[in-house]
Amino acid sequence: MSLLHKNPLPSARTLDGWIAQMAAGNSAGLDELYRVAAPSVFAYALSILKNSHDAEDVLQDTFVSVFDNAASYRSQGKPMAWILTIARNFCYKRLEQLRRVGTTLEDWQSFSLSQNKMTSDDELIIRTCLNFLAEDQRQIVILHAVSGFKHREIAQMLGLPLSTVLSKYHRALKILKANL
Amino acid sequence: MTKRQLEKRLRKAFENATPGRAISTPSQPLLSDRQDWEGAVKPVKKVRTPIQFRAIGALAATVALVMLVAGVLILPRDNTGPAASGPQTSTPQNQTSLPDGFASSTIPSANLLSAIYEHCDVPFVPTQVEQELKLWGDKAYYEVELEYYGQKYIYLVTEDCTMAYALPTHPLMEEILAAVNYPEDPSRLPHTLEDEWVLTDEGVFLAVAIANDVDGNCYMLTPELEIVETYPLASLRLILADIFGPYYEQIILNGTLEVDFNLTAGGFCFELELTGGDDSDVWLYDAVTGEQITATLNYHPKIQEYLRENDITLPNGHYDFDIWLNVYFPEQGTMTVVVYKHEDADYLFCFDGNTLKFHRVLFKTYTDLPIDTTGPAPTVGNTEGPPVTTEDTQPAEIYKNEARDIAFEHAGLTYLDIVDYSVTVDKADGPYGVTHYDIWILTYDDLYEYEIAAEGGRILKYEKESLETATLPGNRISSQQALQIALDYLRITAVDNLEITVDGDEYKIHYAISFEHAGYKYKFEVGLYKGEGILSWNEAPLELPTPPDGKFTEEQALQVALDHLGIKAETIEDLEITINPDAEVPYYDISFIFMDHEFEFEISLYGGRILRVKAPEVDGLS
Repeated sequence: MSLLHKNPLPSARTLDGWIAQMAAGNSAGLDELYRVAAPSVFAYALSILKNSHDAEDVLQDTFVSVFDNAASYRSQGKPMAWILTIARNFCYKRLEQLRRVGTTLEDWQSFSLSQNKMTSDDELIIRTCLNFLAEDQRQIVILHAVSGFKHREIAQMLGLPLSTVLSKYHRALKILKANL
Repeated sequence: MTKRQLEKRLRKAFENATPGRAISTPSQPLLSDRQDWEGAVKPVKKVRTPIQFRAIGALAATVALVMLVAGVLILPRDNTGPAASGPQTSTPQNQTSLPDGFASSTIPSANLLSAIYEHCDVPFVPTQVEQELKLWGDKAYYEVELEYYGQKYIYLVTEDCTMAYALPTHPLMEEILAAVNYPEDPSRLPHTLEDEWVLTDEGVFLAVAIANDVDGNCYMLTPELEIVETYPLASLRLILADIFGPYYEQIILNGTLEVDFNLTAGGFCFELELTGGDDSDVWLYDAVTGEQITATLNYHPKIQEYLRENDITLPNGHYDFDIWLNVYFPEQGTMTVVVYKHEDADYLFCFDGNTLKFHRVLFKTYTDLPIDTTGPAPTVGNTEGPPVTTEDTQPAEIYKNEARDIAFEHAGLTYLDIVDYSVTVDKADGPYGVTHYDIWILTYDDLYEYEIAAEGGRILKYEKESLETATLPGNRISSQQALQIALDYLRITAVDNLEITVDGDEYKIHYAISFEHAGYKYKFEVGLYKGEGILSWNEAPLELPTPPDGKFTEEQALQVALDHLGIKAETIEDLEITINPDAEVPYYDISFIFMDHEFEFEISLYGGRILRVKAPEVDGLS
C-alpha cells in the first residue's frame, strides 16, 4: 500500500528553469514561478508575521528580489529553499521595522484576509493555524503541508533534529484537529 | 478528518488566500510596482483601503456605543457582588467548572469597569477595554487597559473588584538614568522601557526592567522605590551556553532567544525562551539572584495544601518532581505544570502559563492502561479525594507497546535499527472512525509512519519515506570539495583562518567550515554527500576591540559612509539615520539617495566600522 505524499510543487529542475528564464530577463518565468510558489511564500510569511498585509508585502518583495537576483542564483537543487530564505529575511526585516517604530507585535497582528476566492472554511483553517499554533509549529506545518518540503528538509532548514520536527508536526496537526 | 485531508485543506486555504494568483501575468504588477517604489523608503504604516477604514470606523463606533451604554448602566455599582444587571462584555465566568477554592481565570469586564469608575477619576468613555489576570505573591489582581482613541490608561483592580487604582506617574527614566550613571550618555539605554505594575497589599508599585542596555544589565524599582540592579542578562545567556555547549551558537543562529521580564508567584523573574531547540526550551530565573525559580513553584502553598488534604505522604520527605512549561490545554490555554511522581500516579499541578496562578490538579497513573475511548481522561479536583484509575472496559483494545511492536514487525525492524520512535494516541474523530495510535519510526535510512487501530491492532495507514538517497559511499565529497562549494558560493578564492571539521548529530553529519574574508567571519555547513550542497551559512563582522569612549556620532558615521563612496555630503538627498542600540553590535542605519540610486550603510556605533553596505553600481564610484 502506498500513500506517498504528493509534492504540490513542480520539480526543482522545473523551478530552476523558470529562474533561468528570469535571469535572461524573461518575465514569463516569473509568471510561472509566482503561480506555483506564491502560496508557499505567502503562507510562510504569514506564519512568521501573522498579518496578511505584511505577508503580502513580503510576497511582493520576495518575488521582485528573486527576479532581480535570478542571474546570481546558483542551483543547489533547492530553489524553494532559496526563495523561502529570501522571504524569511524580508520577514525579519519587517519585524525589525515594526520594532523600530515602536509598534508591538500584538498591536500589529490583526489578521484579515480579503481574497475573493477564499471561503469561510479557508479563513477558519488559516485563523486556527495562526492562533493556536506556536511559531515553530506553524512554520513546520506550512513548510510540509503547503510547500511540500520533506520533514528532513525542514529539519535542515530550521536546524532542528528530525525527531523534533516530526513531534512538533504531529502535535500541531492534533491541535488543529482539536480546534477545527 | 484524516491527516491527508487536513493537509489538503491547509494547502487549498493558503492557495486561495494568496493574492494575485488569478492574474495570468503577475509579473506585470509586480515589476511595475517595483519601479514605483524603487529607491524610496517604504512606509511601515499600512495604507488601508477605504473599505477597511469604513469597517474599522464602524467597529470603533460600535465598541464606543457599547462601552458608553455599559458605563452608564453599571454606575453606581453594588460593592457586595457582581453587577447583576450590567452588560457582560467578556466571556462568561467558569468558576463553577473549577474545583472549590480555585479562582476563576476570567471575570466580566463590566465588574472591573465598575470598580474603576467608582474609585478612579476616569473622564472618558473608553473605546476599548483589555484585561489581564496577574499575580503577586498569592494574591491575584487585574490589570485593565482602557483605550480612548489611541491613548491608553492602565488601572489595577483587586480580584474581588472592591478597589481599583490608577497607575501613578513616576519620573522613572530620569531616576534610573541618574542611578546607573548614564546621564551623560542616555543613548546607551534602549528606546523603551518594559515595565510591570504590581498591586500589593500596600497599594501600587512599579517594577521596571531595562531589557537591553549595552552591557546586558537590567534594573528594577522596588516597592521601597529603590533601584536594584538585577542579575546580569548577559550571564543568563552564558548559562544557556553552558547548557548547550558547542551547539549553543548553532541553536541561537537557527532559532530565536527571547528574554522577557515577568512576574511570578515567587517574585520577579527572567523568562528565557529558546525557539529552535528541543522541547524543553523555557527557563525561569530569579531576576535578582539569577537562581532558577523552579523550586519556588514546586513548593507552592497550594501544592502543599493539596498533598496534606488528600493525605498524600511523601517517602522520607523526598519525591521526584518535574516541571513542564507552556503546556497547551485545549480549554484552558497555556499552562505551567508541576509534576509530582508519587508511587502509582503522577500528580499534575497546573498553573496559568502567564500568571502562574494555581488552577487545578490532574493526575495520571503510571500503569500503561488501554486508552479510554469513552470520554476525556479522568480529572480530579482537590476536594474529591485520591485519584481513581480508569477501568479496563475494552478487552479487545491493544496497549501502546503492542501497537509499537505491530509496526516494528510490519516494517521488519529490530531495536538495533531504530534511532527514535514515538507512539501517541489519537482520540479525536479518527480518520477511520476509530481511535488509533499514531506511530513514527526513524531509522538511519527511512522514516516510517503508521496509524494502528486501538481496537484489534489493524494497520490503518502506512508510509515509508527514504531519508537519504545520496549517502552511498561513492558519493561522499572531500573536505576540499566542500570548501570549494562554499568559496564558489561567495565567489571568492582565498580566505584566512580556515577551519574544516566534520560535525552534526545522529541524524545528519556535515562539514563545518569557518573562515575569515574581508572583515567578515563566515561559517558554512556543507553536506557530506554529492547533491546536498550548502545546508546553512552565515556571516558576521569580525569583532574588533572597542574603546569605551569610541562611540561615533551620527555625523561621524555618515562621514564614514561618504568616505567609503568618495562623495560629499552636499551631493546626497533623502538622508535617513536611525540607531539600533539593541543589536548584538549596535549600529547606525544610514540610507540616502545619490545620483538617483539608494545607498544603505550599517555603521557600528562604537568604532565606526562598516558592517554592511547595499550600494548599486554607479559610474564613477569605487
